[in-house]
Amino acid sequence: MKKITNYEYQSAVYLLSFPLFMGAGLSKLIAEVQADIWLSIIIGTIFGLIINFILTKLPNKCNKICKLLSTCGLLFFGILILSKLISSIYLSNTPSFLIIIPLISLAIFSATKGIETFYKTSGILLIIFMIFFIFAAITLAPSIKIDFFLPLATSSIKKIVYSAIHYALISTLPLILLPNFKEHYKAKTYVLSSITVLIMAIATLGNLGPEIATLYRYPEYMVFKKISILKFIDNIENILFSIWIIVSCEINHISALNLIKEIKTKGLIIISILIYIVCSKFIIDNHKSLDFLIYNYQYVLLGILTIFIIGKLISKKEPLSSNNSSRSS
Amino acid sequence: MKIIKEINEKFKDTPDLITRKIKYKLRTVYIFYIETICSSELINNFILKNLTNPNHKPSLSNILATPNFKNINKEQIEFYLYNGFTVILYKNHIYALETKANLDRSISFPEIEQDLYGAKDSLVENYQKNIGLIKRRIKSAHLKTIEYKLGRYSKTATGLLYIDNIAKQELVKEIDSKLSKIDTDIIIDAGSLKQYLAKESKNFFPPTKLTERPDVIVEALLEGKVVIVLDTCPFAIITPAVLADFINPVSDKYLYNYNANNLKILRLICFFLTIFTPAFYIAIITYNHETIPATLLTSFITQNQGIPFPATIETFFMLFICEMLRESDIRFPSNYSSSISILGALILGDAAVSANIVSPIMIIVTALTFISSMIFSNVELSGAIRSWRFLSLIIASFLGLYGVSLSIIFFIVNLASYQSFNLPYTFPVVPFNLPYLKETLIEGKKKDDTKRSKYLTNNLRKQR
Amino acid sequence: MKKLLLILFLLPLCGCYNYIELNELGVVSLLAIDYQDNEYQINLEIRENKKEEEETSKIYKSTGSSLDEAIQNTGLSLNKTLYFVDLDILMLSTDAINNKLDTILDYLTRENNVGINFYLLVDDNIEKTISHFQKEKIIAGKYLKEIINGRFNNTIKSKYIDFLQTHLNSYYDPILPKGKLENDTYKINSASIFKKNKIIEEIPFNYVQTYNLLNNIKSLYLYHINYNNNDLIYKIISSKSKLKFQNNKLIITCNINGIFDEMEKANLKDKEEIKKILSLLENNIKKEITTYIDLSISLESDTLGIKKKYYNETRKEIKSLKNIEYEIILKVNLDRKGLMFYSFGEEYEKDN
Repeated sequence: MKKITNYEYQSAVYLLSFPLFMGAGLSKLIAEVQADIWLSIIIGTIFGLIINFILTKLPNKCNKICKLLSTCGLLFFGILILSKLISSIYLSNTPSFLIIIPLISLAIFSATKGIETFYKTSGILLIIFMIFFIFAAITLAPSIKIDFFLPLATSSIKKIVYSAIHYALISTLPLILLPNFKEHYKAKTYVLSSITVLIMAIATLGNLGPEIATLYRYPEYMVFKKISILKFIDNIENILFSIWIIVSCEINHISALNLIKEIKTKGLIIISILIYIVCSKFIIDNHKSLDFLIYNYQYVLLGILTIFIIGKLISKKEPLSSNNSSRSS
Repeated sequence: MKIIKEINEKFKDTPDLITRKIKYKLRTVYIFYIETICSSELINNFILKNLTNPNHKPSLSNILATPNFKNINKEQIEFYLYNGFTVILYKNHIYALETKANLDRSISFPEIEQDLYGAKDSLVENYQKNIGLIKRRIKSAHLKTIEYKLGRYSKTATGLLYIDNIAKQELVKEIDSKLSKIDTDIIIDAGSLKQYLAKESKNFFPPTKLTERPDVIVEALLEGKVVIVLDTCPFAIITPAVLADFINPVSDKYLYNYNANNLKILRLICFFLTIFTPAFYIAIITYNHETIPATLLTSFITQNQGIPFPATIETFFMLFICEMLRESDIRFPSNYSSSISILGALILGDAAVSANIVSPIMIIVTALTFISSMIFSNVELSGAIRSWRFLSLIIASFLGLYGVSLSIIFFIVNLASYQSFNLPYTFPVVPFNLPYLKETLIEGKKKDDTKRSKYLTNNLRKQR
Repeated sequence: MKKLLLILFLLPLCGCYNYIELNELGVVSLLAIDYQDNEYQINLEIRENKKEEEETSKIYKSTGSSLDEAIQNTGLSLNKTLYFVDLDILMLSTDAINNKLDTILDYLTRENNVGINFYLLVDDNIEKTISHFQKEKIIAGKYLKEIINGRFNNTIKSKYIDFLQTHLNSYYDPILPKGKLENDTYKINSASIFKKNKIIEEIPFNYVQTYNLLNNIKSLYLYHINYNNNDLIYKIISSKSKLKFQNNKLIITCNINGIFDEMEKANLKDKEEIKKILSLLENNIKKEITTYIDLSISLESDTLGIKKKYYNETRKEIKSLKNIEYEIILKVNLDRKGLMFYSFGEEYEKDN
């Protein structure tokens, strides 16, 4: 009897493709290519498959420092993006340093429970995600205007490729956190998550139009405000939008788990307090630095990916150099 | 004789120990029994009458016509006297004969797990009768029992039942070793016994299930689970138990699958409603007003006018009163129950609304929560639901809808990290297992019901 | 257990900054903005609810040199927090639109407290309108929203989010409904058309009807024709229209199905007569469409999205509408839809 079933692993891979989309995902892609976002998502999937293929060919062990750096970076982004979202939408008057506290405590709590808990949680949260997503897609589909997409393919090729690379980075980067990626990864799940993002993008752009989708910071939230069924079930955008809260708690969970393996609970608490101080004092309420970070997002993510790949390649060389190979995990 | 002196010393201040001497074949036969436990009718009819019969027969064992006739030694006298046996001393032999009085109630209706379909007998406080009720339904030699005597002073008869070609041997050995290590004063109830079985954990949900219905026990045995039956206790323990076992009763199997599935969906929705409704209501009333549809918002505002308390305090107050009502309903004798329900209805109903202390919508929310929690009759499960309800209410009253989402994720992480005897607590959903899902959460056709779950047993086929 | 207690004790730190009791909410149902003499003039209509009484509303006015200041001045005289999520109508005057549209839109879009599903209305005499509704004791916002949203009312239904999209798009020019007070009743039967973010013209009811017809909006359309000195009214049941560019020419196709009201004035058994009547009708409707398109071409106001159609077809942009050729292909059919086979008393089937 296997400890972790295939369904649980694939649901973790599926849910981890979404969290970095909040805030600078869809809105940035629409700002680059407007109505041709569907084209850049399709090309971006191909790039993403290539990146995943490279990740499966890397060895299992990784240099400790590089792994720490990349995991801390992803945890930092996960907390920053979600707290920015909550303080814009749900709790607009609360200072952001009070919003981060429950997030970090939940991440630390779930990290102390072990890796199997993570997989089971993603299995259950996938069901909730699917119910909300299918409901939203079905209610938004009838009011899509095709006029917003015509004429097809007006942006230049350079912009389309650029945004495709951006998409590929955002959706494949969290997958570096999963252990034993080689044995369990299947390309089907990644393609399925791309189809989900494609449906989201088409529903958003078809309902709102390219100009408004570039105007708002969270067009995925604004489009939910348009749902109205039987003239009674409206204003459900707050409930449907909780799929993004679910998805970002996942990335916090797995990053904290990876950190606990290296540096135990005390180290995790120290690092989370550091992230908390940096986030709340210097970044969130200071719009210049936040906008700088969000608009140069892709370079930071590329940096994290390169650090990770270098870490894996370095550890490959160590056993060759010394006979008593010290365990570097 | 020496033994008689020892017995008299040991049972010094027990006035109900009766001693009789009878002459039999030129020797004295000493008879000891404890009057309160033994049935004097049986002793008269089968022992005293035969011993005082002038027609003397060759040996003692041929005269005394009780079925349970044992040769015992000195140290076991106390045990057998207290178990309702009569001890006879003759010619340096010590015999014990069973003459137990019937001190239990007769088999009656189940009080806690009531249902429309299904058998209406329940376990009683007698160990033999309980085992008898189970063996009436499983007529196979594969049903094995391991017996223990737990507690230094109580020496309660306990039995561990399992079906040896279905249940897993590791599970049986684990529980066997745990039961053998118990060393305490007294164990007279399954409730205290079940706390020795599980590991220490900080979870509210129970890892074992207590039941008083034999048909539930029989279904559990055939899935590969292990059952512990106790003397002087009308409940039996079923291990391992997961969350899906508590939500649906066994009598769903006696209905057609379409009707049963509708009821199952209703119960599953009620499970989530009863935990998260008050928290959701507080979140949308105080923090995220944009979730309320426009037509409802004006009616909420109208109803809330003039109420002195904030909505959070109102909710706590009403839920607290509901819990008080529930507790008092259990404890107070049923002769007074009609006046209590009237008082409760008065407090919660018109009087509170017309005194402008509570708003009408609050009463509807409380009623929804309370009524959907009455579907779950298991006491431990109600306790866990109550704790989670208050926890999510507190989080939502400070953080709004964001808090409700966080508390849902917290709830799920907590459930997923819990294990009941190496079986994950979210068992048939994640890890997904279709045969067990069909036993608990969905009902399939009886014709397709041919397999058992591979997590609980290695014997998968139900048919030949 | 310790961790749980720690979390529970940290929670009250969140301090309930966003905590608003229901009693403190002032639900705004109408927001009217006027801009005169370098000053904003604002009218807010707030709903009041009392137990066991009907719903009423109260109007608050204030002025200020910026929108924020004007709303703040209102808030100082009100004991509630303003809540704009259930806003029904945003009423703007022509002056406000022509001078300060971008500021108003910026304020309303940036706030988290404002929804996106309210309707827009243009009114040049806001004070008169509001005093009229106050006299009649009607909740103005709800009433006006129901007029605009009414299924058989031929008005321009323009929600805020759609207006924003056409405003930001360089290919479209928006169009908004306009209402005014006539003989002590309030009517919304005209519209204002824009050109480059400013209002240039007010168009009457028949143009509004043509606009809705060309945009496939389901409503009640009535056309009058005069045949044999009799006034016949044609009612459209279903219609489908399309605008397309082919060979550098704008082609407008329209298929219309309808029935005649007051049919006893014509002999509908005679096929010749039906053909004559239908050709009269065709000419009538064609004339209406031609005048509307001529108006938008002459005013350079592209409410139909002609430039976008051209761009979709040829991927080139045209700068002005002046030299566009167009052709109208119209088909009118007679249909006797409904629940009955024959008319009452066989009025329409008798021989004249």
